Amino acid sequence: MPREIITLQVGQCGNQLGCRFWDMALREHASCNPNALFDHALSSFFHNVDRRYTPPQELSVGAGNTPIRFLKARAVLIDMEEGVVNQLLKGSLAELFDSKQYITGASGSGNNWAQAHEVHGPQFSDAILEKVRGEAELCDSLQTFVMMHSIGGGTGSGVGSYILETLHDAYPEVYRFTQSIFPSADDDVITSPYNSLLSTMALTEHADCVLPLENQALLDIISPKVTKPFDEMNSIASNLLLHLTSSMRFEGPLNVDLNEITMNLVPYPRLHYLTSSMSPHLAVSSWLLQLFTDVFAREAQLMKVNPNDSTYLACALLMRGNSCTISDLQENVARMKSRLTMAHWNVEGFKVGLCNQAAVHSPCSLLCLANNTCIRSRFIGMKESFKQLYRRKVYVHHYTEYMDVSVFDTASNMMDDLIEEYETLETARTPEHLVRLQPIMYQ
Amino acid sequence: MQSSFLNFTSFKKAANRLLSRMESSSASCVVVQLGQGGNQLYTSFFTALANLSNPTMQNSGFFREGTKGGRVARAVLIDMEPKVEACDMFGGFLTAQSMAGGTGSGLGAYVTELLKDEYPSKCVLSHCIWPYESGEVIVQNYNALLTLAKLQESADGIIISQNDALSSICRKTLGIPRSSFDHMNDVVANSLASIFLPASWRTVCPSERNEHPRKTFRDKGQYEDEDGIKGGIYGAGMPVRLLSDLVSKLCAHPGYRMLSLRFTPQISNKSLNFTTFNWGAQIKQLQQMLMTEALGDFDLDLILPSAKKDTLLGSKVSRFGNTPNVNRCLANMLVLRGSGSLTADVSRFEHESLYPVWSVDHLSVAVNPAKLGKYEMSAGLLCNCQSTVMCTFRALSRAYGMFASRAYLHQYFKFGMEISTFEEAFTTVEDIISRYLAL
Repeated sequence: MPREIITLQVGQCGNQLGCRFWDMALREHASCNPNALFDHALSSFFHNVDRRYTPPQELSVGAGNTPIRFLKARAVLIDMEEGVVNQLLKGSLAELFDSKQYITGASGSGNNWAQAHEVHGPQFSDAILEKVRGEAELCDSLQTFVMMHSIGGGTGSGVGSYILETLHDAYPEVYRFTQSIFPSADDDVITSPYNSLLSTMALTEHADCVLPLENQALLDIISPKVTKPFDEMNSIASNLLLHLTSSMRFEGPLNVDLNEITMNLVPYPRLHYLTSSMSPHLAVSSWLLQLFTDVFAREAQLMKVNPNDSTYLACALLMRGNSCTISDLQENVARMKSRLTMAHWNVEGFKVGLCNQAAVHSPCSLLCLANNTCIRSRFIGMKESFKQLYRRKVYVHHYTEYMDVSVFDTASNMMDDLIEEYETLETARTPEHLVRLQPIMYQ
Repeated sequence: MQSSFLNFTSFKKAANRLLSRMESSSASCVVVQLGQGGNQLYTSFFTALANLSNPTMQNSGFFREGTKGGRVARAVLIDMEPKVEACDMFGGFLTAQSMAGGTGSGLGAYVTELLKDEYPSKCVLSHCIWPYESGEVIVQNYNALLTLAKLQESADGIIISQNDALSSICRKTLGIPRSSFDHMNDVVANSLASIFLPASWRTVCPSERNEHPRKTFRDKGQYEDEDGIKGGIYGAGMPVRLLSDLVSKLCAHPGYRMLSLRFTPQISNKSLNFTTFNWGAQIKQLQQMLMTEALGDFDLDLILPSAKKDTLLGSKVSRFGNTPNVNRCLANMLVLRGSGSLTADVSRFEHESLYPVWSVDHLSVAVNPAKLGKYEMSAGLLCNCQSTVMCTFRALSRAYGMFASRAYLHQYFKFGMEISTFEEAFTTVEDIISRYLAL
């Protein structure tokens, strides 16, 4: 049974990422679908349209032998500028989208969360919901929204936050995943500490699962000789999403669906930030042992954090490629486990998955998603840079033009709570004595 | 999880359609496959049945004649999309599920409960795949315990197959260092086939028939061995009725429903040609497999108050003159297949240290002179014994830890469960464990 995902690309960063993502998704399906049939795997991200009719007719997966007519992406493109979206619509991927799928404003959000959230959000609210509904109606069983955005700028963070709130309200049963680009220490947007703090509030409250990425981490992973670093970085981010969803699209002896990710990796509802790492990133590697060692290395993390110094609350290891068996997985999990600090109540906290369909770039690849307390170091960093600006009240007037100043305090308190929750778990020790229910003896 | 429940109405319709075609005969049963694990395992099982049984066994209870003359497995497949194969005779349900994931465990427990409600006079046997202890699903301990507690109330018997044990059989005995689920499923499928393919009851000790009249109560039918010996001499008789006989022989006490499977020979296909079969060695090996799965270093202090432990273990030692660390059984069912199965000596399984004094009729033996697939001789054992307690106990300990930290509970509360649901399940499982430890 197909389970569909609708992606929402918000802001410049989100749309650039999406552009790369759709290109790679098409490549991946092309590599394993030589007869160009519209199958279940394709239906997760695409729908099939016969444009010879007016209005165009939807072709369902059927028995799996429907030929591909016109593939349309299950996506909604949102930006407050026209540049990136227009570029996308002129490029080779233009066929994937039609006018019902994108919203552009004219003014831009000026790197201002408040303007985007308080003005553009409500202004485009109906249009966004209508376009999302249009996509949702084409789905048999819509499972997940995936939002791609950055949280340092204006549109991605502000409109993104607004969309999450709206979706939470309108589609409470559908999972909300976000792929959020966190600002690096030396970010080019001067108001990004404000924007990211305010966005984190929305992410914590309204997302089911956040996959934070950081430009600096991605930049360090790619080779310095690469001529188009942004393309490479977007490829890594796209790979993450393709890998994560591979198990729900393709066959495998141990399937892992997206709802299993939220179930297994989110022990407490607000702590749903998952650091990710992959091996190999782009090049080919087939040495199984090395893959497992690599994903736990600090250098492979898509965030500038070190999970090895902190506590793992839960961890998922998803393998693509059919050369790995379940006993290989078990063996390597056992090997790696001794080097990691696991939460005392979740010593066996590993979720494993096996998908037969290899990725395009490597016959065997591994994705590690971790709910690790090390993420709090990034939150502390974000809080610090926020305090530096807020202490002097610089740029605050740009925000108070659209929102009440107390929102800053709310967001800041919420961030403190989040950091504290992670800290409590980090320092938690095994209780001396666990109370067991005492049975009455039979004899 | 929700989408599976939506499909449940169509399952019920399917099951009803299926049952309307059944007569009230006893020879067959319906397999209900739930979730990925259950579906994968029983696909292997049906393949094994088809491969292992020889033409005379063709009409075993798990198959029916297909419309095109072939054999069709009688299975209800539930993994979002139920399919049904018709069935003409019916004895009970065998549900197949994994304990770790959602569909298998949650829906499995629900379906079992519903089947028992709808058909209270039929047997429902649950075959559960116990996950790797190192973890497949992070919340597997919650899921497994919640399922077990539900099954304890609704299923007549719970067969537990542990992935860790299967993996070690593959590695140590079959020489497969990197076993996949397919390999492991084959191991279970062989054992299941050896229990479930047609067989007839025989007496435990052929020569002592008259001294043990209790064991020959089925002494009615005639049985003919391939050597032409009339079975009547040995008091053998009735064919094994699927599920109902199993349940009445093994799960007579409602507090003890946990079953485990064992099978010999465990040999790779490669070494099959170089193996000489003999009953003495096989039965010895099987008995050792049973015995060595003792409680081991199982820490009784964790669960038993010390005073009670002393009286309990003390009484055991004095009564049986044995160490408490023997895998004690409530009942065993042995199925021998191959020539000479009728006369093979199974007295090893009668050893009194294996059973508590109060258990009666603890050993049942069924035989079929036809060989199982390529195995000249084979022995399958379905036991109601302590060996399943260890994995249950460890799962419970981990679940207590997670529960004390209140981790993952919000995911269950979202669907209307409460703290008390967990506590009730934990109580039921504590109960099962303490009952088995008191054997």
